[in-house]
Amino acid sequence: MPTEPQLLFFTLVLLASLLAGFVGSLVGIGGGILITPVLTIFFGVDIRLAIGASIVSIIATSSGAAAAYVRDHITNLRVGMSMEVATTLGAIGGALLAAVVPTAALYIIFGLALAFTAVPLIRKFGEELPQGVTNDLWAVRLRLASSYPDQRLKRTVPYQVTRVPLGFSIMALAGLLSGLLGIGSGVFKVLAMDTVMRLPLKVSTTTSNFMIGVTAAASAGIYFQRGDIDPLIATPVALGVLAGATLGARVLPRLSNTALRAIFLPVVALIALQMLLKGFAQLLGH
Amino acid sequence: MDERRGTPEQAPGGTPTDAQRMDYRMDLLISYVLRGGVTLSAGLLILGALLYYARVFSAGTPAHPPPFPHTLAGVFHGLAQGDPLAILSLGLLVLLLTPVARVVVSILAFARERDRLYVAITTLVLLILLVSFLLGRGGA
Repeated sequence: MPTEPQLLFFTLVLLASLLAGFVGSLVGIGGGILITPVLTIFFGVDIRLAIGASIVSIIATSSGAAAAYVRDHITNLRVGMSMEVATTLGAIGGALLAAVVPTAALYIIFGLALAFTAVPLIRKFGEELPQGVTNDLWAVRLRLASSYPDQRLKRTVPYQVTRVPLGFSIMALAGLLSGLLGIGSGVFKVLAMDTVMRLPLKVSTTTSNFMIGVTAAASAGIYFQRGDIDPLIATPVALGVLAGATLGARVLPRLSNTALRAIFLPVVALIALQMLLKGFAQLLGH
Repeated sequence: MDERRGTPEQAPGGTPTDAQRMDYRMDLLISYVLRGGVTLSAGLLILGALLYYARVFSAGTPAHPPPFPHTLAGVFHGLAQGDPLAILSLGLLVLLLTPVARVVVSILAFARERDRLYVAITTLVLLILLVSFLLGRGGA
């Protein structure tokens, strides 16, 4: 009889994680934004263990979805690997600064930054592929230009890459953010590639998906050794997210970039709102 | 529209360039590594969960949440004793290490393709990851 609440917990967390993995695999984020509040608010899980589970969810989304996206040649490996230099460096910087930087201010600053980036996103609404982009010097040096087969458009789409140094800087910021707050790095990665470097949106979200696993791995060891990754909580999260991400990776190739943007924009808005709320809650709590 | 990387119809069915062929090989290899890590991890997690809940079902829920191993030594000690929680922790460890394995394999693969620039870039990423692990152990 007392087994039932445990199995119910397992099933419900599995289902919530399935949804998080599905959405996360489409828009290039780790799903921690959904997992952490669901675990803490609905199931009363300790925040420390919820964050540990969200690290697991990021890596599960990343590896589960990227296995398919890389095989399907949608992910740009060279962009991903070059930019990982920035995100991992940023993550270390964030971890080092975490003790001295007030997180309330950070949540508010990044929440506002994210809200502002929604403006160019709205302007880009309806844009299927970026037009008139030419490689900058770094894109040529790093051979970042590529092409991807678009199932929806039924052709291979060649593309070029621009403003690499600015993109690199925003990637470092994304890493810093994940080192400091443990969340929100995927959305800034997508924005760096979509809005700044002007990659097609599918390439941006799938390449972000590819990268978030490595950014999260940089701190996963710490969480594991600290005992923040409770297997009874992280297991349904991992299994649910893996299933959801596998499902998402089957859907994304069939979506148009325009449809994907219609999913991405509300996610950005929600994350911005969540960060602002968190920041103000912390500010008032002190 | 600028399409200096060949006509759109080219890549899937036409005659890909050497660089494209190299990229395709790399994509498949990385995809195998990720799929392998994910499959192994999911297998361990399913096995561990079945064993754990079967035990709970027959012996009842423990009064206190059972302690779980969170060091390498603890995980292997638990495995030797057949502790389902250790199987779960091992499955999670495999998952957490999959992105790192992917970075290591890509270094080797770029080396095989004699792509020195990307050997350097991916090695740098691995070094940064290692530094972050060391910092974490130091309690930063």
